[in-house]
Amino acid sequence: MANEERLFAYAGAILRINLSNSDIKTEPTSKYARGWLGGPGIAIKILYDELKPWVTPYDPANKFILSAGALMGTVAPGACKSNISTLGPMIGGWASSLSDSHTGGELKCSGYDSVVIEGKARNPVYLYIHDDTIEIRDARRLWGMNTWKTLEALRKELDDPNLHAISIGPAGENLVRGACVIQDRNRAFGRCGTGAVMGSKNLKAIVAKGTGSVKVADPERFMAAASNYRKMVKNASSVPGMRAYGTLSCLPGKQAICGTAWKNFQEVYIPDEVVELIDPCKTIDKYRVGRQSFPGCAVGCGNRLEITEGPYAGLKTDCNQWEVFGAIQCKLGMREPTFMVKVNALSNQLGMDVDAVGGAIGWAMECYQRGIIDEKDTGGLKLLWGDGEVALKLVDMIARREGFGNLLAEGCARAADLLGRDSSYYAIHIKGQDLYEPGRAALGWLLGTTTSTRGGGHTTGVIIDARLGISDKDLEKAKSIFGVDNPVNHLDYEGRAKMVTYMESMHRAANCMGICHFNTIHWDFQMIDLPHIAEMYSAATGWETTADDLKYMTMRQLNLEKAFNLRHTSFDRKDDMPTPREMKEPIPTGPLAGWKMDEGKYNKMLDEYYELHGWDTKTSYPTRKALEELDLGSVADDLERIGKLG
Amino acid sequence: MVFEMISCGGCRTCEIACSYKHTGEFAPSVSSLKILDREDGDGYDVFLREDDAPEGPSCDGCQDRDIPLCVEYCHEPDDLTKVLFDFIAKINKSGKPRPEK
Repeated sequence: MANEERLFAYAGAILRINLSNSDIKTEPTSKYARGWLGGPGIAIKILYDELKPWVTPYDPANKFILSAGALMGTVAPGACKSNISTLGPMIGGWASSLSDSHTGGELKCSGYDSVVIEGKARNPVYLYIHDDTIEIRDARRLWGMNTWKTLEALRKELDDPNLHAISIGPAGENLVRGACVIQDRNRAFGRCGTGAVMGSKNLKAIVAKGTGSVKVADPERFMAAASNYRKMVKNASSVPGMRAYGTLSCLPGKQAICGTAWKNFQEVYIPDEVVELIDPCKTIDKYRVGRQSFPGCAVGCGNRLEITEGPYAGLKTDCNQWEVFGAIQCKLGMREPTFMVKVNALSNQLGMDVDAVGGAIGWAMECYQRGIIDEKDTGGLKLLWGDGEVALKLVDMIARREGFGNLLAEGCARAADLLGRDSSYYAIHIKGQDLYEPGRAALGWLLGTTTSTRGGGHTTGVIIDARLGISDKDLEKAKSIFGVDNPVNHLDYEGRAKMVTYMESMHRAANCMGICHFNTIHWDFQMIDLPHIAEMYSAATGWETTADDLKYMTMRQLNLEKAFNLRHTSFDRKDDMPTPREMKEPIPTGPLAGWKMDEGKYNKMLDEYYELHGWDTKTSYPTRKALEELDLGSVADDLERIGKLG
Repeated sequence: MVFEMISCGGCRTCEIACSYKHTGEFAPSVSSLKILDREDGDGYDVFLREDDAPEGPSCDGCQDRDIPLCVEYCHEPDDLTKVLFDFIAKINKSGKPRPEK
């Protein structure tokens, strides 16, 4: 029977767990695999079909879905990403986040591609998955622990010093809106508040350990592709910089396009005298003690650090990536170079999205600067730019929802709504989720974030605009991939819609496979593209798949995400706009000083984006024609019923 | 046997590759080598299995390949090769029959 089809590459089963009544069932992955690829693709199909319109994020009826990518567990380059998808509290709609992960591979070797968790446990629990043994175990003694202590405790309890686990910290337990889920110690399913959903279910952690295997349909073809593509990625020119510094290597590019928020987006260029002081690559060189990488990755971008000087001397942790440097270090005007390492470690321990941390505190510091709030509001704290001690105190208060931290725990958008006092202008967010990076001079990046279905995310359609010194060969390749003449002209409105549309497919295909974007053209045009993914997927599954097939399937996912949001939120065209600050303010300093966005041109670019998708330009709603072309006619009926068909 | 490999980043791709070499499937639990977490997040050690065991086969240094499959998928191939040489040397010293590679 079709639903019982034996699958290659996939583990073959989806685990269904109800924490309210401890019911445990399985269903075949074959029900979804052909149409929805894997990971977040399968998850959006389940969420769309099964969540009633009145379900809210912390409802026991909400479903929390952990998945391994379709190629995870193999040696496909970069295939180390797991996904968590749910109805999320940050935007009240589609919530999806990926992390480098060992747990996903273990899940597949236990026999499961996804775990779909609904209900709410009466007391704190953790899930233990070991081949055929699936147990909901008592986690009361873990509740309250930070994620590092949780991992330690689980390793001791299960007598396995090499155990991997995903867990929430106090932030998830306290339903902090930006709470995240941490893999082991320092990798995160960062965005969208998935940690709060997990906390709302009284679910502290998930452990998987499998002795089974992942099988591919054509091993020789698969290994040839995987081996060749691994060499291709390893030989790309950006790799030495990535291996040495991770995405922190993009500092020069970000400065060139004025792409870093300084003091909550008041400036978008790190002042020259500060860059020297806080150069993150120098910090890494000074304190690096080892490396950190994940299964299959052909790059290996992680560093282990031991800080030996300064206010955080003694800290041993993994280095952060660019996001923390941009979203917190620079957003809060911090001059202590090791601050980024400390705040990253603290956010990981407490289980919080670094963007939500930086967004909320950045808003608060600007409000304090402008006299909108004072010490009476903050419980005596002086919220001065560059004060690391105050910032770290606030991070802790947010996770515990203490005092002023309770307001900040809502994320900057809702905090501004609650406070009032005309503070909303300084809350930098898209669709309610804190935004980490400026895009006013990086229009491909901007369009990808404003239209992202998960609220300002940059892993579902952006173009990286910070491409300094691109070679002629790479430039020609980029033109050919995207079908535009100006792929790296970050100040051009033309061509961006077409490029974002391509990246929407590229990102989703990678996400469904579990392939890290930093092994793909997302980062370097010499790396993996859609045709390479198609080849690996074909060899692994035995289903001949082309790049065009991947585009079709990922556009189905995008439209389903859009329909999901239309059902659960009031988003329309107005929510696909840049923040007022980015639209109105010219760049004050840096090489692009004076550059200002043109609202008319932005709107024309957005129109083009909607037209490429077959969506109504006035409302952004998908049209019946567009949906039927994607074999989503029933979704058109659903949208028509709620008055949201384009 | 457990060996120090300071440059190991703990990705464990070697385990996946090794298991494929032995079984034609990706089953890291049966790999001949295991990456062990050091305490306090202080890096990784490499365990190589000397004798066939219920958990998995022994390491034979990939005598049937030009480059051991674990080395092919390692970020630090020279360091892992050295670990394998040390392993083989220790095995040979112990008198157990093993390839010289």
